[in-house]
Formats: sequence, structure tokens, C-alpha cells
Amino acid sequence: MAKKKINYKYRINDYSKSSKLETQGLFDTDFKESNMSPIDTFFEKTTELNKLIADPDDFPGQLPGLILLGYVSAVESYFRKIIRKLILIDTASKRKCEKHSLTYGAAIIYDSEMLPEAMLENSSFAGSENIEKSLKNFLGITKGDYSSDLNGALDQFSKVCQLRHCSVHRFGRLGSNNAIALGLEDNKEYLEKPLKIGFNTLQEIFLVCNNIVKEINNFLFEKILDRNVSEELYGWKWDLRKDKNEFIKYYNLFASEKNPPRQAPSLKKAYEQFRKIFGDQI
Amino acid sequence: MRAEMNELIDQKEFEERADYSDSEDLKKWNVDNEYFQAIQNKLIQKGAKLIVGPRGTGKTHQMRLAYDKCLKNKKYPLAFYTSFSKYYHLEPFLFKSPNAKKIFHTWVLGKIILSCYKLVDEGEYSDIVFDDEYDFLNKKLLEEFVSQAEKGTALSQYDELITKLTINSVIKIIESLAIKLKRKKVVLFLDDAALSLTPDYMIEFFDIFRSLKTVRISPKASVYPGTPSGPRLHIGHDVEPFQAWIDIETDYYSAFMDDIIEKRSLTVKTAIPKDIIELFKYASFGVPRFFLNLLRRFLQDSGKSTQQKFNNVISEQVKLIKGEYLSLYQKMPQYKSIIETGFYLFETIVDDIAKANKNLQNEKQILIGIEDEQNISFERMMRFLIEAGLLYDKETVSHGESRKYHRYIPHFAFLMQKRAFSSGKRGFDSGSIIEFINRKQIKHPVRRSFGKLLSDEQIEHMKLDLPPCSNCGAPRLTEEQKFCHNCGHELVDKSAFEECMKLTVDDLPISDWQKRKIKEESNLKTVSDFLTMPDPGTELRKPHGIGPVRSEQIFNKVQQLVEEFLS
Repeated sequence: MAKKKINYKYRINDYSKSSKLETQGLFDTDFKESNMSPIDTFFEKTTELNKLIADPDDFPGQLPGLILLGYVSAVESYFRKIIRKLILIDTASKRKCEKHSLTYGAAIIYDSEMLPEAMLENSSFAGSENIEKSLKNFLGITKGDYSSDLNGALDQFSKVCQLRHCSVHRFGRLGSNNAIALGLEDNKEYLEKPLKIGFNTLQEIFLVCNNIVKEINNFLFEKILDRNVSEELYGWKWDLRKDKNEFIKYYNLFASEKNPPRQAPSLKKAYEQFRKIFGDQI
Repeated sequence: MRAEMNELIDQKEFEERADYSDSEDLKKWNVDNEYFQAIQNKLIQKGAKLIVGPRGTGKTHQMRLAYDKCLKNKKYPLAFYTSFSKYYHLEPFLFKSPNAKKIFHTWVLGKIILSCYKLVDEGEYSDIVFDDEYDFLNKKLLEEFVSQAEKGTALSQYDELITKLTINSVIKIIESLAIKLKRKKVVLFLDDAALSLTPDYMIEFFDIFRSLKTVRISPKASVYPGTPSGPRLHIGHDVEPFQAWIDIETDYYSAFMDDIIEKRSLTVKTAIPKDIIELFKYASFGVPRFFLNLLRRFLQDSGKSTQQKFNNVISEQVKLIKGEYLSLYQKMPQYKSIIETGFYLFETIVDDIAKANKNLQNEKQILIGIEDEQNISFERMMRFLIEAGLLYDKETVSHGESRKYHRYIPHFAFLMQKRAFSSGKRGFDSGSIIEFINRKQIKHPVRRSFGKLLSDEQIEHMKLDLPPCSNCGAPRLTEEQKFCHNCGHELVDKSAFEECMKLTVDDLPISDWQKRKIKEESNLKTVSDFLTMPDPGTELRKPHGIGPVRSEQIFNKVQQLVEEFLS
């Protein structure tokens, strides 16, 4: 007869208490997706984060790392929203996504407005490579088209994403892969050391995240309209009265009303420049 | 007599700026004593070096001389010369482009590559071409990029250049040129590299400077005294600094200044009394540009007596230096109160030294010793005064274990204006002032703490002048703050360069009549109009009474103002 296996059992730490966590009800059902542009949604979210530290000399040491997570999450949300909306209004982007597959569950639950969001579920936007991959896969825009300003903003944002990685997965400690990504030679002495983010550095991180959103937003506005004309996806009449219904879709998607002090250029001005560049050539 | 005087004043020998003089004149005018020979050696020998001195001390002069020497003589290293005086034109990018530092980086490297082209052209090495892999670095493209960057315009068409031009490619090009031209060593003269108004660019510049140093390449940069060089460049280890600013106390100081007159063949000795020339040597405080300026102003002055002329010239000079120093806060408004308080401190130093001299019989006092307080605002304040050449930084002395005194000589023109060397006499006796200046320095300096030099109120006043949040009005918490802690909105920083472009006709250094006429009868409203209008000369001649001569004078004054503002 086989000997009955006896497992070693000994409670080395304290007992756990019963938990009643249920995820239902944790999400706000009253929430309605706003018509705000993705960039303004980003500003609205981050404006709240910017207020979390009001005294540069007095805040809990872990707080900046957590705010950083919130910030990168706001950037990721921006990407999800702008791509989703572009797939809905931009013919070239829609065509690019036609071959992507969706889960059956998403297909039966989401309405058409939100459906593209499901396609992005497996995508990450935390890091320049992830962003590049997603812009290519969903919008058909490749890195070769990026401006040097955008590349500069992406490089900086990648650094922030490495810090985020340390915060999420290593409780703030610098891992070897992060150190390699940030430049091993300059960072080797910080290996396995915890993040220590002061007020001014956190402000710099906010700026980097703001920059990436501003640069991407500007770049996509130009690039998508440029492609729309060069691939003849819409019959532009080069008269605002006739083109307004189409142009306003793009204008509303990208224009910001929440980034003071600079006022968003009016639709008329943005269209005028569009007409000047393309309309006059035709 | 007046005509002769004007002819004398118009001599090119009075040209104060090496960047406006040709190389033959520079060679002829060079004062070739041991001190300056040592500077030439430092510039040509191996190793990264910083040539240090405030404006007008001859840094450009020395660099251009060394460059010419190397250009003409194959036994010296291969040399490249480039000036970064227009760095401030790139300042607006810091406010509108996340890529500003990369643009600046490319601008610096692009200018160095253009100096390679210049050398190839000037050295008549027309058969030398860059390797194929550097086809993207063609001269025309680089010139266009540099010019566009200095105009602060959009640079998206140069993305390839910005991405591809690296420090490594510059090193490879320079080293391969040296091999082709059979020179073992290379010196890079990087002039006007103080970059003190844009700390972000300054750090970037000295990173490039440090990386350009190889076994073969020795970079040399000219900077202001007290200018920081970024956190990664270690003075003494990575780079050796040396002074181009001659110490007023050296034995050969007077003889050196005499040489300037001799070498430039200035015929001032007959027109200006000997003692006055001697006093001007000291009033110029080791800055040849000021010396030439004082001589010229004396010749132009309409004062009735020598004494009156001397006093007029000194007070004009003092006014000029003060104005230039205080103009710093237009470029760095966040330091306005620190800069202003710095001038109060300087005036107190001058007063205290002048008072100390009243009681001396056979010695003189020209030194102030200020107790070290490890206070960042005080350090910043002293740096501005040293950088502007108002204080000459002498070595630090320790008194006991914990007390350290930083010692400085204040600018002599200010001491003279305060009659610090007049032995309490009522009248003007140039001879006795010279005798006083030549006395031996008393053993100890006037010792002061910041608390004694400044009132509590003045110290209290010294803070960073940062604009509040434009959305909610909350004051900023730190200099580096980018977003308001109260309302969360992005804070707005202004480009000082763009502020300069907004200066109006009323701000120009021209007569009230000219201001009125230009405002009423032309379309020129701001400095930007003068610089961007295709033909500002014609526009300037529109007002009745402003002809070709006056319009040129006014235009030159605008250019001068911009240059001073942005340098």
C-alpha cells in the first residue's frame, strides 16, 4: 500500500480575514462618454493629478511613483480614445483595421461606437516601441513619417515608461532591463535602488507626458488629413461651406479647448491653412 | 583741431572687437608678452581647455590668432574655429519644441562641420572631400539649417540631419581630415561658449565639449568667469581653465596696456595727457576693449578741462557697465531681484573699500573678503557680478577651521568714481591717484559677511521672481515648476528672446525726435519689424528728416541693441 503523502503545514504568518470584494458596482454606471476631444480628456484627467502635491517639501515618498502611474495611464487612455475615434471617422484607418479580429464577447456587447476599443485591448502604449507598433497596426502610420519633434518626445516618454515599469513591477527598484534601456553605463550604479522622485522631477515627468500627447495629437491631425487628400479618400471641394461637415469631424477630434493660455485655432483658420496647402494645388 | 580729432577717432586701430577686425590687424596688434604667450601655448597645446574672461578681455582675439597661426604653419595642429555667440537665438525652441536640445545639439555640431568646410576653403585644400557616408552633410544644407535655427523657424525639413548628425560622425570627419592633411593633432576653437543665459543648452554644450576630446582632438572653449559648465564636466579633471583676464595687480599690467597703444600705432599719446592714459589703464580693469573705449571717449568729450573730461568719461563708463549688468534681468527675469540686490552689494563693497583707503598712509586697500555662507542665492548673486566683470575673483582664504573668505577686487572705474584713491584731497591730482594705486596692498582685505554688506530688508527682497499661474494666480513653488499645484494648469514661461523682439521704438537708444518721427511716419513698430522687414532702410527713410545717413545709424543702433540683448 502506497504511503499516504503528508504535506508539511505550518502557519508562519497571521491568518487572512474574509474579503467581500466584488467588482460589480465598482465602475460608475452613470458615466457617459463625453464628446470632449481625446487631448482635452487627457488634460482633464492630468489636471487633477497635477494638484496632488501642494507642498514640494512635504509629501509621502511613495506618492510621486503612484502619480506617475496615473499619468502614464492618462497617456494610454489618450491613445485608445484617439485611435478608436479615428477608426470610426477616417477611411484609411478603418480600412487598416478591417482584418483585425475581435473576441465574440466584445462583438456582442459593445456598440459600434465603442467596438474599436475592444480591438485595442491587447495593445499597450507604455513605451515608444508599443506606440509605434499600434500606430502602424491600427492607423497605418509608420515611424518614417515621424517628425524629429515627435521622435524627441517619444524618446523622453520612453524614459518615463521605464520608471513606470519599475514602479508597477518592482516597487520602484531599477531592474537590469530598465537600466539597459536607460543606458547601462550611466545607470549601473542605481541598479536595484528604489525610485526617489522629488517635486521638480515629477513636474518634469508631467511635462514629458504632456509633450508626447501634444506632439502625437498635432502629428496625427496633420498626417491623417494629409493622407486623406493624397489618397483621395474624400472629394474635398475647397470651400468651407461645402467641406465643413467633413472637416469638422477631424477638427473636433483634435482641437483642444482646455490647454490655456493658447486658444485653439478656430475651425475656419485650420481649414483655411488646409485649403491653402492642398486646395490651391488642385 | 576737431577734424583732426575725428580722424584720429575713426582710426580702425580703435576697433574694440576682434570679431570685427581682420586677421592681419589682429596679428599686428597682438601684445606679445610672456603672459599672452602662455595663453597662446595653452590654446595650441594638447588637452581640453577653457579660456576664461569677461567680455572684451581678448578671448576671441587670442583664439583667432592661434587659429591663423595653425592655419599657416604645418608644424602646429590642424585648427578649426567657430563661434556660438548666436546661441540665444535658439532660446525660443525651449518654449515650443520638445526637441530643443536636439536642435541645439545639431546646431553646435553643424557649426563645427561648417568650420571644417571653412578650413578646407581657406587652406586651399579644394581636393579634400568628406567620405561618402557623410553625403548628407553638404555645406549648403548645413548653412540653411544653421540660419533657420537662428531664426527660430520650423525645422521639420531637416529631420534627417537632426537624426543623423552625431558627435561620433563629427569626430570621424575631423580625424580623417587631419590624416589627409598630415597633421597629428587637432584643436577646436569653440568661441563664445559661455551660454550662461540658457542653462539647458549650456549643459548640452559641455557634454558635447567633453565627448569631442580624443587622443587627437583638443577642444578649447571661451567662457565668462564664474560661468558654470554643467554637472558632467569636471573642472580640473576633464578640462583645465586658464585666465585671459589680466590681473590688475601683475607687475607688467601698465606695460601691457602701453603695448596695446604701441601695437595699434594709436597717436593718442600726444592728444591725451600721460597720467590720464595711465589712469585709464586701471579704469579699464584689465579689459582692453574698455581701455580703447575710454581713450576714444576722452578724445570725443567736450568737457572744458582735463579733469572734467576724465570725470565725464569715467562716469559714462560706469553707467555703461552698470546698464549692461542690470540688463541681465531682462534676459533672466526670474533673477531680477537677485541681480538688483547684487548691484547694491557691489556699491557697498566699493563704498567700504573707498572708506578704508581714507585712513591709509602708505598702503592701499583694493580687496574685499566675503565670508562663505553656502547659500545658493548669494552664490548666484556673486556669479552674476563676476561674470559681468564687476568683481575680479581672487583666491579663497581660510581663517580657522570653519571660516572661509572669498576675496574679490571690485571694478576700478567704480573705485575711481568714488574717489577711492584720492587721498582725501579736494582737487583732481592725477599724479597722486597713480601714486596711490601703485602703493602696496595692505595685508588683510576688508572683511565682511553678506549680513553686513546688505540690510535685512535687501536680503529679504532677494527671491526668485517667478510669474504666478496665469490661470488661478497662485504663486509658483519652485523655479522648475511646470504645472500649477493649485489648479493643475500648465504654467506659462516666456521666451526672453521673443520679449526682445517685442521691444518698441520707444525702447530704442535713439533721440526722442527720431522715436516720434518713426512712430508717426513709418510702419516700424517693434524690434521684430526692423529685423524682419525686407528693406527696413527704405522704411526708415520714410519719415521727413531721416535720410540715408541717419537711417543707417538708427538701424545700426537697433542691431547693436539686439546683439547686446542676445549675447
